[in-house]
Amino acid sequence: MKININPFDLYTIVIILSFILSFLSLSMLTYLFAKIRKIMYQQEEIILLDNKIRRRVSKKIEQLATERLDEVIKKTSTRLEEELKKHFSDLAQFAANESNEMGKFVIKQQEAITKQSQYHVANMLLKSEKEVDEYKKNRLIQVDEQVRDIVFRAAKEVIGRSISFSEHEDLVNKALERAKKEKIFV
Amino acid sequence: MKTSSDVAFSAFANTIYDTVGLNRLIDNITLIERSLFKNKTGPISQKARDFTTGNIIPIFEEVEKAGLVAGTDEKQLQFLKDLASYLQNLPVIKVTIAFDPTQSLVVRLSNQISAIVGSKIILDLTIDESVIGGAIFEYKGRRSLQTLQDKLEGEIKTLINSTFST
Repeated sequence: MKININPFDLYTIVIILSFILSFLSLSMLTYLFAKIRKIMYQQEEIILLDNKIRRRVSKKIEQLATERLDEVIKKTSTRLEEELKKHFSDLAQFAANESNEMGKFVIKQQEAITKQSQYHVANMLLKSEKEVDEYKKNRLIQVDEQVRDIVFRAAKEVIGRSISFSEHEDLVNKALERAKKEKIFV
Repeated sequence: MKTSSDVAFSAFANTIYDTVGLNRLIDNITLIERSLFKNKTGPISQKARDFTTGNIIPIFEEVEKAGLVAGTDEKQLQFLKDLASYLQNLPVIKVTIAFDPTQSLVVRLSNQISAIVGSKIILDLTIDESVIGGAIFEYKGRRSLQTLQDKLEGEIKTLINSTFST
């Protein structure tokens, strides 16, 4: 059997088909759009939830961290305080010891200086006394010499003038006699 | 025992008493010694007559008369040299006194000391007024201090010491 289709019918069929296809396509697109929109909404919701969860988690972490940190700080500060206390105590002990040693040293030095000063003063006194004695002695010798010189010159002047020539000769003769007795011409 | 030369030399030495006289005599002898061979003949007294004055010529004449000086030029020269040497070796006594002595005192002192020593001596006189009186005698390294200066110093020293000590 032979089927005769006129072009018009064909055209109509094609148009109907194309209409159906377009309708289908449109329906598909609408469906897809709705589906995408839903997915997008869900995604947004997921993001929002995710942010919410993240915030909560971070808060929790922060809280935990703060607690932990506080605990650590508390522990550390206690230990630090103890360490510091110990250190200060040691330092104070050291300072006290050093001060004690220094005090002893200062006392020793003072004693040594006092002894030295006493020795020095004693020496100075002795030296001064010696110098004064020496000076007195020298001055006495000088005065003695000066007095002797003055007296001698005066006496010489007086006696020298008063001796006559014959007396001079007599004195020389007597001197010769005494020299002879001393046996200096032997 | 004295030799003839010693006797002759003593005649010259006896004319001097101190170092001044000794030096003068040695100067005269040196002068005669230099003039001995200047075309002169005869004894020393004759040769020296024109070159020197003073009492040295009579002494030469005396010793020549006594035959104590030989006649030859060489022997005369030797005599003069020995005489100078003899005089220079006479013992000297240093005497320090306070005044300028007369010649008679010098002679007397020299003779007295010569008599004590036992041989001719020459006085080396020094005048130092600071001795005041008396004399200092120095002979052969020995010293005799017999002066008023010494006594006065001693007295003054004693006086001052007693004054200071009281």
